[in-house]
Amino acid sequence: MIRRLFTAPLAFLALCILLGPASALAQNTPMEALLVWGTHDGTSPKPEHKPIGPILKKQFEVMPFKWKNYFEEKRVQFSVNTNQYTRVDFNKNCSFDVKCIGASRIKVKLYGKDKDGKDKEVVRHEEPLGPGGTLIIAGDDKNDNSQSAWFIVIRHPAPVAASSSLSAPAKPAAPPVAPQPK
Amino acid sequence: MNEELGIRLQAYMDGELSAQENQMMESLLARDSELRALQAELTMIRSALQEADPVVIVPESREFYFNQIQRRIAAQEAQSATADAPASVGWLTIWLRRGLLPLTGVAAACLVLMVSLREGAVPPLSAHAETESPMDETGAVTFRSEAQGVTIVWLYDKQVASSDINTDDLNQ
Repeated sequence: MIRRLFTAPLAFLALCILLGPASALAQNTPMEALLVWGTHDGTSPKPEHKPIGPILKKQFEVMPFKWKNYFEEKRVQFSVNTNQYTRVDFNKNCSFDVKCIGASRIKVKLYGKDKDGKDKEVVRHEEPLGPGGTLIIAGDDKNDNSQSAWFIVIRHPAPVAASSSLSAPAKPAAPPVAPQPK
Repeated sequence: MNEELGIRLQAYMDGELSAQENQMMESLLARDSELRALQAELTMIRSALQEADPVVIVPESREFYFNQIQRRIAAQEAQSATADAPASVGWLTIWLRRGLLPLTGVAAACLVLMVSLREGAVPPLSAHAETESPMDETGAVTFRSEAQGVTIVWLYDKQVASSDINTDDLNQ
């Protein structure tokens, strides 16, 4: 009798311990994605575009990009989980799938359109994207003779205390040596 | 016949006498009928003993039997020690040894793993970024700014990039 009294809670405790990490990783992680255009022009050709926020602007300024101004075309809030890919559509020509593959590591599949208008996978990227982390997938705008560029910004929002420090980084990084986009 | 002569006869029969003593014993046996009767009796007893106590050869070695005996003695001692202790204490000890201690170890390992994963102390299997471009005409360059916590994946047209390189070569 005494043995049964001890065995049942013990089994439950073991089950909780074993299933705990799995459930923690399986929970949804909120993220946001932005479609940004970079250009030399002071204004965007599309009136619905608006300048990017100050945090993102600082991040773009220290990056080795040649464009002077960046405009936000669309912003999407979404959540990633370990069970399945989350599809994020910016417009009819641009979308991506994102999934958490464990330990804050995400996998992104970016899609464009081929000549027949079908989805084609352009790039597949995976990396750890913890709270406060940002992933930018970008390229030249071929239709504009590389005078502008598109940027897909995927952000994992930081906790409130950490986000304040993000808005005013204590030590901006020096412009890194990286492949300079034309 | 005295006792000493009987002992010497036994020694003679066992082959323990010297050659000279053997000759003396044989001459005595030839002359003394009582001594011959004793020899016959001793011979009969020896043959009877050999038949009554046969040598048995077992497949297992002596060490094997001794080891079995030793193990059974140890088991009986342990059993008697457990029986001497109170029943509840014995059960608690077994429970602690077989159940709680291993589970505590598993719980501690899981706890460390959970905390590490949440805090990011343990890097994932591959802490680096991996980029793959399924399209032949599109290339990708990855750049990471640790200070900003930003990773950039820059996509480019391979044909345009190669033509630019060729143009640069010609200009030089």
